[in-house]
Amino acid sequence: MIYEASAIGEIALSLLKNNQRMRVHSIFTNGFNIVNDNNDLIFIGTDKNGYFPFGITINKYTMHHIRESLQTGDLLKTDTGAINHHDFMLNLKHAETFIYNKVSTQNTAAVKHAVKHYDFSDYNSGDFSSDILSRIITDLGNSEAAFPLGYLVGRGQGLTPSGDDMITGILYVHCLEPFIAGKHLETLSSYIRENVTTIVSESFIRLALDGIFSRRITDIGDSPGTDSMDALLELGSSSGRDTLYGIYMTLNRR
Amino acid sequence: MLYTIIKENTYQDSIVLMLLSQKLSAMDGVNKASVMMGTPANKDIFKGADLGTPELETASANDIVIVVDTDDESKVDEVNDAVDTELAGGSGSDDSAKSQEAHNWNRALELANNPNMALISIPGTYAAMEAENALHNGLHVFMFSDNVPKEDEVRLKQLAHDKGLLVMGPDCGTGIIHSVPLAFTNTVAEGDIGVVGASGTGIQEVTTIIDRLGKGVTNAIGTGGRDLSTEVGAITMLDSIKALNQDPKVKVITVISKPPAKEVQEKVENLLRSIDKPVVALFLGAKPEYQEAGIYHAYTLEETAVASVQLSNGEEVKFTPSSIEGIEVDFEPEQKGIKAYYSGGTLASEAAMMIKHTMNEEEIKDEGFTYKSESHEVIDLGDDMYTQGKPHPMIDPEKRIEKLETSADSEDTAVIMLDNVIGYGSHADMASELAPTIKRITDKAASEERSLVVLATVVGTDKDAQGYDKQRQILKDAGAVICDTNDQMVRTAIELIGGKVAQPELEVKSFDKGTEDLSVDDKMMSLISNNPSVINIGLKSFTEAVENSGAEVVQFNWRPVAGGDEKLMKVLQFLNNYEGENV
Repeated sequence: MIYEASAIGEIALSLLKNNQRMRVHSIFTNGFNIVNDNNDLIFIGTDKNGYFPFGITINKYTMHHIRESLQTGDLLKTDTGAINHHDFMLNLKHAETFIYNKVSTQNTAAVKHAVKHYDFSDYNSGDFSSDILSRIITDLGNSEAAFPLGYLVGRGQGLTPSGDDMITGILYVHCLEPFIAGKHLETLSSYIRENVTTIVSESFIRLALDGIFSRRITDIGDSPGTDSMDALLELGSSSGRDTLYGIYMTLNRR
Repeated sequence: MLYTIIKENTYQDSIVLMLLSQKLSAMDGVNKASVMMGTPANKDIFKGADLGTPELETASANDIVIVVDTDDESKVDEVNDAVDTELAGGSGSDDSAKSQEAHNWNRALELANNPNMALISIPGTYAAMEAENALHNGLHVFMFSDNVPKEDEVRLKQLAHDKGLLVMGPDCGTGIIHSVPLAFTNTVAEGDIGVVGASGTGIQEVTTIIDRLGKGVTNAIGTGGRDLSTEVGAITMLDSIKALNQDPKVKVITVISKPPAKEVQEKVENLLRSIDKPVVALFLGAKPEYQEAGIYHAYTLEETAVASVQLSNGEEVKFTPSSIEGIEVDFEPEQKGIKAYYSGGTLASEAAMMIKHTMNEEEIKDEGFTYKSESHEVIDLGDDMYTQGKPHPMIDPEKRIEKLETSADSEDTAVIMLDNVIGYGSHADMASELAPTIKRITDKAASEERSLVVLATVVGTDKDAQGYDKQRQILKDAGAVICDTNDQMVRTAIELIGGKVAQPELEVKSFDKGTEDLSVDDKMMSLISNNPSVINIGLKSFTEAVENSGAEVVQFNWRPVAGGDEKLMKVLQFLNNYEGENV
């Protein structure tokens, strides 16, 4: 059967350009991950979680059908025109390529103003209290401090553990107004390659370190306000909120 | 006591994992349980919650880890089962199937209980090879797969015929074997009408009308659309007719096809003239030119169904076409067009034929249309052209919604026609998907004081899961005029714009009785007289319909050998069969 993808992210496209074979890494209700030998990842799934730079978007009916024949470990022949599985072909020729948005740094004050309206006090009862996060964020600016992000990486539930989503939020604010010591960025970059978090999270953080964020995040800087922030909140079961919490805590750091 | 379960390279959304943690913790006899991805940071959380174990250290960041604190070791299995169910997509979804699974032919044949049929839905490139394997293993073949080269079809059908087996398909969308529905099929009452057809929705329309008229069909054999081509020579249709003829339960044989090549039609008719049971034949697309004793030549699908029912009741055939009357319209002068958007290909062909024969407008040839003229258009949205990369319109309403909207806004549109084919394989509630759009466009036309009629027909029975009456009611409530059959719908549409479909009046011709050999292999008789025992190669959802009918099925989770290298696979295939037949 031939299925059609509707959109493809720039990073996914460049991975396909350089890899003839990838394999199915993991399968969820709304999508699945494929990886090359270096564990570079492409997420193929519905737009339920927004558009990713390393994502390929398919509709839910296609996902429903693909799930039937897909198993972890399946080999896929890939090129920029199609992803071939022995049971189906996913045609990419008609997919709209979406270029990731550069982070716009013009509206930081407005972002800061808008995010103030959200209440994150419930985090205080868990592993990510504002005290803990404040200390981590303060230490990030200090090159003398011991690597502060070890606590957050891979901590929490789910596909992208909450701590990682917070890191994405922190790195986004770093793009708006750089504050993290170079040393800590370098350490994070090497640390996440040591199998300390899920492969999906690793991909997000790697890209965030390069200043690449998913559309729902860049939208916040492009049009600061409750609309873009509410849209981010809808992401995943808690991912969006965790990310926004990272943004909130970083923008309101002392 | 702590127990650790590790699910390697497994993921779930955090919400699923959290719910799972809660569910496990709430189990009787479980003191505490936690489920998380095995990242180093999460291992610290486990330890912090006194759930640290030595096994935990072996888990990687991409594994799901479950640590259970219980005094009762037997609880661990229970937890493991609960986890597997949840990770497979929640309770009740994938665990309903009692079917067994295999990964190769040997295992599949071993697991199956006297298998006699392979149901194949893997990609066309590989389907022919597996069909051949199935035939070599003595199985009849139902090939849902399309894109099988014609020369492979000829070879497979010849091989099957020589072995006394049947190949239904390729591109066979519908079949009922001994009341077991295969692929996209309705649940139809058992009965004494035997159907063989080269068209999927044609079989669905005819069998469902038969059911609604109170009769039944025990076997409806699909042949695939190319069976009546010159090259294939109707091998499957001829063998099927012979089998239905030998089946003492069959009183009437009903044959459905597009008009075939002349020599093939002669071959089929010659066989039909050799048998004693009454026959109804429909070569949809052409007006029948005569009637004959023993064979009733029909013009439309409804007529085919009605004639079959009347003959099975021992009555003389008398078909009175119907249309819906009393629809009040006041079309503008430019509103002359009938626009039809079908999910069923044969239904589209039937509409095209009736409009073409009645309205006499010059046909404009265009690949995207089953029929197009200055005023009218009939589109089969299930055609390859529209389904490339998209789900079939019986599953996905998107394309039809789009067409409904654009055609409703078009000045020349007077009548819009739609089908809703229900049954196995179709959308769970297509009527509700289409209803909002139907309502919007009819309301809009009304507010502009413009006449616009949306006609709809539901292909199905009251035994179909979607509910025949419910689907009709939803469409009716949305503002559509509901027609009982496609025939009635097209006649109604044509009458609304001032035409009238003429029913062919035919003289009776007489022919010599045919002299075809009517003998049939026992394997064919066994196929249509027993519940099939199926090896399902490909789409797992096809097992459901088979199981619901009480037949046995083994799921063969097919993987290509030789890493999917087609050339190498063919070499292996040749070597395997070469040895098999000469040793």
